[in-house]
Amino acid sequence: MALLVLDPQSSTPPYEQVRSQIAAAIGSGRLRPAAQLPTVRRLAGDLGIAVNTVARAYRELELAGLVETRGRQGTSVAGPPSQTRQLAVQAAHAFLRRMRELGFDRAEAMGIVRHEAERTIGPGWVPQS
Amino acid sequence: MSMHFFVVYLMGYAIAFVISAVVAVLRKHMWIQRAHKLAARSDIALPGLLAGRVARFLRDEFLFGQLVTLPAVPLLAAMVVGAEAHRNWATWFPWILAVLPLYWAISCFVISLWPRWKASGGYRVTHLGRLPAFQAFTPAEFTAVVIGAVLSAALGAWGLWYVAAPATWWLACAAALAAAFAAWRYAATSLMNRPSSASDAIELGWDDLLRFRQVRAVTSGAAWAPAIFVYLIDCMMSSAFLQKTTVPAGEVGYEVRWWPIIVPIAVGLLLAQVFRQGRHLWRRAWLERDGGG
Repeated sequence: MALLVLDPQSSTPPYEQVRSQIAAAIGSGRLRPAAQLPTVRRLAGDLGIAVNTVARAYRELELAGLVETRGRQGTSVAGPPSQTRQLAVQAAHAFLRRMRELGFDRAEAMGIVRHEAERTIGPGWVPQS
Repeated sequence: MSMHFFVVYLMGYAIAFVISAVVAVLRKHMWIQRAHKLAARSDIALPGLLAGRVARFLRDEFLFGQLVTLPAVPLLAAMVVGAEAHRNWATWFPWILAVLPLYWAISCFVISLWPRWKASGGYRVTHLGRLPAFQAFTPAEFTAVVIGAVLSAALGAWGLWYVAAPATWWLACAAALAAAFAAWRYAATSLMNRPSSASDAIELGWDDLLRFRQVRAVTSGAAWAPAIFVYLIDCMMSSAFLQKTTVPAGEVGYEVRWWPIIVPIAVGLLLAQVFRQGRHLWRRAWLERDGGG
């Protein structure tokens, strides 16, 4: 059974505990594509944490392409990534590898990406169709 | 219905409730034994620290169930006895048939509220998924539930036909039945989706087990209790319990017939056998969902 454990004494923030455990369960195959995840409200109630904390974890999982939210149907594990997404992930890996070689840590690398995105694309991200 | 009957039954039932509540609270050992029996039947560990909490849950569940029936049982009993005493079924049967599903609807709402399992420590453990209410039943159990619901409606319809109830009563009873179905669905879904509160995997298992048990009890009760109750009333209305006999002196006598009482007992025993199948579903449903069973 895929279980989620929350340690309130841990130095890892609750949203990160939720996010990393769901990501690990998807990665290991314990949660299969199309498997329904609990609703944000239900999971927050189960774990005794704020709804926003779970919503943030789900949002990050969604940005990572691991889960997808479809209105009233709720949140479910995403299917295998598309070819375009795989290419994007490869590009991200290459970028992060290069950043590490240049001596930047994760926060600095992400800061550079955010800054450049704001500067060149602007605050509204509209993907090309 | 006679107000006199109602007050007498209410007082009698209230006294019986108070006595059973006092006995239930005092007999702690009995509840501990029941908790161990439930654990053995359901294939779940019951460490010493949890035994007391499970026993308390079972006791509270029993007392709350009794309390929910407190106002309804005397009311229905007074209606039935009053109607039988005055042979006035045409007036009272439709009322009974309309009140019964509404009583179940209210009971379903109330039973889904309390008691609830609570985590003992700071850690929180939960499932990474959700299950629909029908997963709490095996296919055979689900079929039995559907048969019970259909039978309840059919026996009620037969009673309405027997007393030649007007169309408005048919509509009112159908509306009451629809309300009861909606309430059951709400109760079963909210019981299954109710947030769990557990500090480790064993506590989570108990939360699942007690949740499944409540869903199964609410569903099987909602499907079969009205069927058996209405069946007994149908038998009373059609005088199936008594057979007219002519004694030698030419007077008319009555003989009690037992088969109308044996039928619900046999059905109850059969249902107990059918509903034994799903005792392990609280775990199996999750394993099947995750592809591990």
